[in-house]
Amino acid sequence: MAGAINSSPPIASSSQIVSRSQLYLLAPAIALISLFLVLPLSLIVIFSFLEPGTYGGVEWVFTTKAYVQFLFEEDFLTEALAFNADYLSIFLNSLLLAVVSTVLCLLIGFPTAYFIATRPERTRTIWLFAVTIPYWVNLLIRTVAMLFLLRDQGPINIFLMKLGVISEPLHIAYSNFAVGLGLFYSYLPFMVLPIYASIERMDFAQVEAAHDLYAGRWTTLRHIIIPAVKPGIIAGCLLVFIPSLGAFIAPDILGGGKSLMIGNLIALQFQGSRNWPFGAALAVILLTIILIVLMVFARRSAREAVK
Amino acid sequence: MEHTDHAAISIRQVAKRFGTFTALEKISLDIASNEFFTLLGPSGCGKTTLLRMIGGFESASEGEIHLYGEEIENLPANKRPINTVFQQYALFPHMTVLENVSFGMRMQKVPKSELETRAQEALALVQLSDFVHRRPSQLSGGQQQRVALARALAPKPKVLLLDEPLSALDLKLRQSMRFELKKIQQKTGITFIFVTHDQEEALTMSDRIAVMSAGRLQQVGTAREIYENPANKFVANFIGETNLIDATIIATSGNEATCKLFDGTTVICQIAGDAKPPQKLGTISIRPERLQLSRDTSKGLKGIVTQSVYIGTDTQYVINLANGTELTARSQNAQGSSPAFEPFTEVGVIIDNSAARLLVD
Repeated sequence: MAGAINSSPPIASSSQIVSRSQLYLLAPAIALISLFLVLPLSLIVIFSFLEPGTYGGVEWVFTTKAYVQFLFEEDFLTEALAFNADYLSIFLNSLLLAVVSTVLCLLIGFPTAYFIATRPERTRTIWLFAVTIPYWVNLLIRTVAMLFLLRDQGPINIFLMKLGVISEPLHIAYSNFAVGLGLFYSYLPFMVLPIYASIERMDFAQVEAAHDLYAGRWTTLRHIIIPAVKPGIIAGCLLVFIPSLGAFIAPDILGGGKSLMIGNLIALQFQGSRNWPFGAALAVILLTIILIVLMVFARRSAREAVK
Repeated sequence: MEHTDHAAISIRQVAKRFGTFTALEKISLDIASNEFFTLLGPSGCGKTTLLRMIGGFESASEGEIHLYGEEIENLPANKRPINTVFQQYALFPHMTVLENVSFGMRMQKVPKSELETRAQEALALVQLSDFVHRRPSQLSGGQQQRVALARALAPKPKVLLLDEPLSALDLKLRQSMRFELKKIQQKTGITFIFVTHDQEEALTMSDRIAVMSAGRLQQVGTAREIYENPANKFVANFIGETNLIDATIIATSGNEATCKLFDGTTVICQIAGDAKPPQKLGTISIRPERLQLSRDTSKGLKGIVTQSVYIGTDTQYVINLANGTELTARSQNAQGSSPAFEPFTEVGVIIDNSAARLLVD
């Protein structure tokens, strides 16, 4: 305990000294965030407690119907509520896809980041540059291109059929698998970059010290490298998990409406279904899930700092 | 001791090349069991490369390294019973002092009860028993250094490698650590191989010193041997201070040579190393404290004092000879004596024949 207090003062004291003139520096950012984040977000929370208008929009009448609708279905005639898992299953499916894409990104991203960080300094920039190249192309175009590759008459299927590995095309497109793949591909650099940054900062003499003290490669990875780059791994996982959970383009194109994710469900309420309050309620639920995930990580890293 | 007939570390014709750059020319060296052995040299001389090869972090381009008679070239670092104290300590920041010190034994699968006792013993040895639950970041540089030492000693290695471990400490701490390191080495009986560029460190701690330069072994010997009988110009210059005077060789007998200096003075001195001087010209090396100054200018070499510096225990003089050669002489300050030779005094410089060495490289 005493240790944590000892090691923290420099940070605490520097954050306390924020003078009035320094606040002016923050003013534009605060104004921007209030206007384009706090205001719309408040509107969404308010809308989620209102009645839907007939042709979209809202009626200014307070109700919690939107939230009830998330879990229950109202019988037309009796107005009795029956449990309905449809929306919940879409949420769970989204969670699952987000977790899978995060794990995939970690499995591929960690070795990639490690490889780049251990190159000589001059070639590192080239490798990092290579990681960002796909980002020169718009996400929508990249996703459509991916669909083109995966579809039944796409190059992958044709190639496999020509080889005689399969006789009928694999139905990869429009499936959870395709969506997961799309999410993984969309967010991989968000995993690679923070992990790269923490590996690059790591003192590799520690790795030598571990070898010197009879640790093999895997033990060194587990006991020395991973603990040292943990902040990067956590940052990478959050950066992939959060946008994956609310993703819209990948499930829309690669899922083809068959594999719906939260993002698509919300979009649907504002467009086709014209049920703004329900869309707003879904957005609030999604936000709550993300906040819970963030809080769990924040509390865990705080506990570790104390230790 | 089962290994008595073998050297702890035997380096046989070992060379190391990085691409076209030769870091180490073929070196052969035996380090005895229980020895405090120092590799001394300026940065880039190959001493750290040699240490890293012994530790298993670098492979030799040529030659063999034996540990108590067994070839270890094919053993990776984690299989060698050799531990290292790294220059920047390389402590594990996410582990406590105790966890750091226990790490090696944990990897060796030492039983838990024994592990704890041995870690505590190692920490007691470096006087850190009160800090077991601290993190490295909560320790001072000197304390971190001790943790690194305890961590490397705890698994009881056959050989301990120390890569300039004192270079990051301040002067006072460095000086006290020298004696402590030596004490710990004698107490544990582990063979220490110590790398440094600091000649004072090397002279005060080592049983034997290997002086290295430009990837070559220049001389191996005790502190006294390399100071009093430097094998060549590099060693004479690198270890302590010395005066180098050009000389013409008139005659040699055994390992003694009669030399004539520029003004006709003859000096009879020992020839450094085993080499017989093939040529007529050589250099005489003489330590500042072995030059004696006299007011009688008919004795020895004639010169003028240009500087007289009081440095506590000694007074140091700079003397210009007639041919432009600059000599440094040092004399101990007897009680209360004022500087005996003021600048611009004409003096005779007498060379102590028994301390002069003829260098022929």
